[in-house]
Amino acid sequence: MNIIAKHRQLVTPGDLVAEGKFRAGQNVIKLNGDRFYATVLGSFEIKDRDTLSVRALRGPYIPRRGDKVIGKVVDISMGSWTVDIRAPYEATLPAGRFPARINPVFDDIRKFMGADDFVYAEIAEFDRARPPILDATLNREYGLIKQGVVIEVEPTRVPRIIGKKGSMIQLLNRELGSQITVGQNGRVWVRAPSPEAVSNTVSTIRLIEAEAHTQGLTSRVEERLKTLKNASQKIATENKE
Amino acid sequence: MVEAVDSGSKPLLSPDGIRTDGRKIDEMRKVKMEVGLLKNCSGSAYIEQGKTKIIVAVHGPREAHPKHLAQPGRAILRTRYHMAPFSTSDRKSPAPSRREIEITKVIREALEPAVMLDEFPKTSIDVFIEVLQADAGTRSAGITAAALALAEAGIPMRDMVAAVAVGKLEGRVVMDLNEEEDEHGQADMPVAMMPNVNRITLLQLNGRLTRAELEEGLSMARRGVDQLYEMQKQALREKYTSSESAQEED
Repeated sequence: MNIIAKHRQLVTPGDLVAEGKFRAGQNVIKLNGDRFYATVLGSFEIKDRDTLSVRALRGPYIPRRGDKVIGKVVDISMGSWTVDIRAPYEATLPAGRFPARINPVFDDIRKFMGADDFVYAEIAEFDRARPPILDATLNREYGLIKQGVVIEVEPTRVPRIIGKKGSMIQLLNRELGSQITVGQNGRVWVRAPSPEAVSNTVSTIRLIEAEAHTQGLTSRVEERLKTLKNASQKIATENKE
Repeated sequence: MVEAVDSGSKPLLSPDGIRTDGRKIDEMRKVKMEVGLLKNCSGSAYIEQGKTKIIVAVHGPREAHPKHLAQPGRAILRTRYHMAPFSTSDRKSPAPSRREIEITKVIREALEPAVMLDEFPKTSIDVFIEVLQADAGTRSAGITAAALALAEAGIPMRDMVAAVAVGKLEGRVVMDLNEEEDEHGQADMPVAMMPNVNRITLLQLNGRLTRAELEEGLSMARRGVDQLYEMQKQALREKYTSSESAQEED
């Protein structure tokens, strides 16, 4: 039993992380007997005393059942939409799983959602053998995105944008008066009361994305929000004068 | 070409083991690596090995097109080795030559054992290797940079791959030939390896080597690969320097 890499150390593919009796978790493989190697660039973690895993710094979005995602309509057929969810596979949203009464025989589903529209939905089925199927009826917040801005971020950075139990989103919503919805696939839907608030929110999300792998991120975000707030107050008082 | 070199009058290796560019027999050319310099792809890398300059872009995993190429149980790896028209002293036709098609194939086969293709069924991973300036050793530098770009794209790999050529000049085995040495030397042997798994994924030989020279060449290549592997790790880390410090729990 010998752990070579330190907890949370940056490792690269092929790095020997441990030797001995362990279990290979995400992005770790067992080779050459009892040797464990990292398979991606990321930070090394030990969970439950014996499970070795690496949290990837970059990488594709792999859909998982139950993930909330923001998709973009790329094609429309008789009874379904084809949706780009930034995964290696294109998803399908059947008309029956869209939150509206649609009779596919009589209705043209284009009336509800056209090409390039964004839709917030959940991955209902995915098993790698078939393309993912979306469902937008499982939650009231799902459906066509009619207002606001959708931006794209690195899918591996999504957990940092959400924060511990949604703490980062709550912080941004509180301080900037915006409403943020983060899709697991690295698309972020931003609604805010004013254009300035939108651009402040977007630039703060970009900061989180760029520094997702660093320590003390929350305090730096708080600092940034404070300066943004002061700047906007200054402008407001100047306008009054 | 400047002038015809008469190998009798101008030796490629001096009696005390110094080469025409001043290197020792087991010395690699100066190598520079960088990752993440392109925006519109999943991963990218740039390598300079002496005067050889190569840029690599990786796309994917993405849906394989045309669809019939997709494999049900794994991703397909597609490569393209291409030399820019301005990469050589005489203009190189931009159409893929017989040589480039062959190198495309051997590079794909050198990378395939490392990439964990079964993680992404029905998709394709595309690797574009563009030689900007050629000064020998382009297939080996291309492999080294391609592995780097794949790692930067976050595609899982069993091991990195690094490659270097060894050759023979004036009866001595030497490391990392340049264009002049490649053209007038006695042998050129590119070797690609997975350093941790300890496997050779590419081995070609142009010229003649005795069994002893082959073995000496392989162990020299191994030393070169180890050096390159360290530089690959360094290049990947440099991109995310501050992440050496710990990461908070989400």
